[in-house]
Amino acid sequence: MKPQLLIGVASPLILSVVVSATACAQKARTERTTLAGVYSEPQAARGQDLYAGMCKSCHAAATHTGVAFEKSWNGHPLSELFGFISTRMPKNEPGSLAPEEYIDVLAYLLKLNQMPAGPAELPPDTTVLGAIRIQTHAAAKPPIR
Amino acid sequence: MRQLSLNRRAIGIAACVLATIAAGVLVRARLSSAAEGAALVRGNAPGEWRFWGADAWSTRYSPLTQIDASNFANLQVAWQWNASQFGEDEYYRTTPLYANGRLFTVASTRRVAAAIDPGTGKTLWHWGLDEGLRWQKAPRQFAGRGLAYWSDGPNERVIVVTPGYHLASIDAKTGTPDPRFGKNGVVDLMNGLGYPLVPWAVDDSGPLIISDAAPPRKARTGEKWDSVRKIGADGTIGIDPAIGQIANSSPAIVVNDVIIVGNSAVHGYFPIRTHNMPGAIRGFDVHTGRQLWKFNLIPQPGEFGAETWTKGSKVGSDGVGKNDAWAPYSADPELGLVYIPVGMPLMDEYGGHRPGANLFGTSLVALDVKTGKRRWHYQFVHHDIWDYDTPMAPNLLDVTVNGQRRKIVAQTTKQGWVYALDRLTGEPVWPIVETPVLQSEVPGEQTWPTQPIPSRPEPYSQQGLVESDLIDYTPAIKDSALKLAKRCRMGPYFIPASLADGTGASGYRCSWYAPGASGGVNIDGGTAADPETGRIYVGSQSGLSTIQVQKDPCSEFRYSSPHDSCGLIGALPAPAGYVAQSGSARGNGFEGRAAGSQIGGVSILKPKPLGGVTAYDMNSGDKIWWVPNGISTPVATNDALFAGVTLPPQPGRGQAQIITTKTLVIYGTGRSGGPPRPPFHLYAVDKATGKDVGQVQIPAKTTAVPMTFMHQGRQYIVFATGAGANTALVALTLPHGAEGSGGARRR
Ligand code: HEC
Repeated sequence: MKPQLLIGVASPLILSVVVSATACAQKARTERTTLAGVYSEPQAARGQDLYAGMCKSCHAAATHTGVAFEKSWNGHPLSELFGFISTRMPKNEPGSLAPEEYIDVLAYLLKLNQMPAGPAELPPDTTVLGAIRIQTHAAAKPPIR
Repeated sequence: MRQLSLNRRAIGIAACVLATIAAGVLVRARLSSAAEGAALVRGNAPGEWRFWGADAWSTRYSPLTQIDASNFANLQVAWQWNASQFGEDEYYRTTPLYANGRLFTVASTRRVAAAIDPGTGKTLWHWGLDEGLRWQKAPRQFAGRGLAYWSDGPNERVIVVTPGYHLASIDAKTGTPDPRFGKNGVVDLMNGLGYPLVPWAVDDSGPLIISDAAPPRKARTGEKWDSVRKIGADGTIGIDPAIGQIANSSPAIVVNDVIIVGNSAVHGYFPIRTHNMPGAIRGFDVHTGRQLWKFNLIPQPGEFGAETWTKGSKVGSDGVGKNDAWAPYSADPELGLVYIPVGMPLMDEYGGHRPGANLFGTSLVALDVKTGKRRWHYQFVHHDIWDYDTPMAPNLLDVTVNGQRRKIVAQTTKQGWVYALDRLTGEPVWPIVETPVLQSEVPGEQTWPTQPIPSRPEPYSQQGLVESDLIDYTPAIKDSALKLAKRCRMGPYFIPASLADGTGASGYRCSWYAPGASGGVNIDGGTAADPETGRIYVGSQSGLSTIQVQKDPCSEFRYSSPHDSCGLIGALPAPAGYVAQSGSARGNGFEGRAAGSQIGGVSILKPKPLGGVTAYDMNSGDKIWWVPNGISTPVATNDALFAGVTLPPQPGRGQAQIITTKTLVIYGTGRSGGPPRPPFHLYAVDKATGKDVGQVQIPAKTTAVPMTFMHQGRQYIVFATGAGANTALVALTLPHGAEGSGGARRR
């Protein structure tokens, strides 16, 4: 089956309900963040090539890193960033990549933000992605071009 | 590459010209040309590929027959040429040329030109230019679509337009710039447009940011280069950045010893300033580089068409900019005409700053090669607010329409239509009817009341969204699809953008957008034309997205598609009370985008034979056959709405990259077509029927239109692949001994 790509308008709301219903202490213990090695190195490498081919024409790496990235995405579930890029990017042809390609690009965006790689690939599955919170390093710097 | 590392002190062009001849690898000029003694056909030697589109007519047709249906699947990789040896790129979008025994290409963000031995893939020479800030702030920092070739017999030249907008004439045999051309082989294209040249400086070390943020600026008197922070003035001279930016992405075309060069511009997505540089086409003497003429693509006061800018068209005025002809061009050397596909005016989705039809935006313009005078023009979209730049070199054909032999030009477009025009007069071959269209609700926008709608051929991409386009497998499915469809403004075509905040009269927050900003046809795909049969083969995509506009708080534009320029260098200061939005709250949420056209992962559009590869007979205007781009994707869903319904597959994604030969249509899927993971393939179908005749596995997806040629008795197919630091040209040929007898056959 093709993984479900899209989260509806309501999904973020449902998610926030789930989160608030969870005890804070428990949340701190169990919630995965993007600092826990949620994607794999080979996946980010594939994503890098896709990014160069499909995204770079409009984006300096600085758009997705450092303060800019932190301001937009820190604390949000990863499903939201996946939803954003897979439904709104590339700006001139939204939705034109396959889910497997978007998720590779997402892995690369995490790598760009110096989030560590791990053993497993990130799947294009909004349920899994909804349970991972984006957490940036305080001092993440954009890489040298 | 080392030779090109910037020397901030010595930017004089003479000092920057670098030429290298790979030691000992000099190809004998007459080595192996398929063309020996053969007359040029449409400017090309049969069996060669001297123009971006094969010949001056941009047919992408080759009469070669060695590779055919019987052996296509046996093709093997002959060699791969590592284009990243010259540095990184975006996606590698170049189609190389083959002339007189050599292959020519460009590579990397620096657009280094190179000659390659077609039999071995060895680099024969390479040449590049150090352009200082002109490169750093170039709006099109990539290898580009290719180069041009010229020869008078004994002399051969490769013509390159660089990212920093210089024109160079390189000796095709040695890689040495022609000393009689311009200044040491180079013409500064920023000169001769009629704007002042000034010293440049930068306030950051990065590139220009979409569209015109972080621009260079005029240097202050005495300003120096700060080599630590990489800011300041490095000695680069260019057009005063206050006027705007200029770029190039496609090769020039050489016709009757005149080099015809245009330009591309900043992207029109999210400009901050409401004026920028207008497009211009110029002719240059191929021998000397002397500028012969200039044609303004935004007619200046007093020129033909200026009245189509009702607020005025003067450079620097509010709303005036672009109309850049960024795609490759086509020409009829016999008629002495060059055909220029022109892009749209400044700001893709909002035209409120530029009322009027905005000539020569989104048009085809025929110019006299000798004088640069306009012979005719045809505007495809009046007052374009859909990003429908004319994206592709038009195809020239001689056909028989209603018993009459006609010289025609067929322009395939983002709009999903092919417009067939008489090549001499610009008159439509079949009626193209000015038809009333939906009007905008966005304040200040004066939608043009009509658009020209071709009566034939039928379109190759989804047009707008109307009720009959929706899936209706069960009444419940039909209901749900209609409910979803009605969330955005519907219509048959040319649906203007809605206000994202829903304050328009109808309350819509989005409008359906099909074809979208990338077509239909766009630069990745496009069309091959068959001079034998008068047929064309169109590579296009078909999809459905939405369009909406709102105010960017830090742009001069009253509206743009949702965007926030605040904080970028060159943006307006944020207004009082400004709060940046984060996460999915950015813009207007994403329910109105591509996402909004699916239920449980199933598109609300009925699958149709659109996009993919479409063959038309241009004698009759009939559609002949259609195939998907490589693969059809099975559709599956968990959504209960579809329980018990067998869903038909979706036609493939992306834009097929097509050439045609004596018997075949050969295509790659392009970077966004085909399967997401390997194996990737090059495909061939019977050009008469569209019947699959074979596929061959390739190392990576094609990223540009392939080309083919005969070299030393072997037919090769060469195409670009990859992106970033993994770019290459891949050459395919038949295994030794399997070339058969076809090798000698030529038309
Ligand atoms: C045609 C130009 C273009 C292309 C190609 C493009 N983008 Fe964008 N992107 C934009 C613009 C403009 C914005 C800002 C507008 C917005 O927020 O909607 C943006 C915004 C973004 C953002 C949000 C920025 C933030 O605040 O974090 C992300 C993430 C992003 N793009 C990722 C991608 C990815 C991944 C691709 C390739 C699959 C891509 N883009 C391709 C133009 C483009």
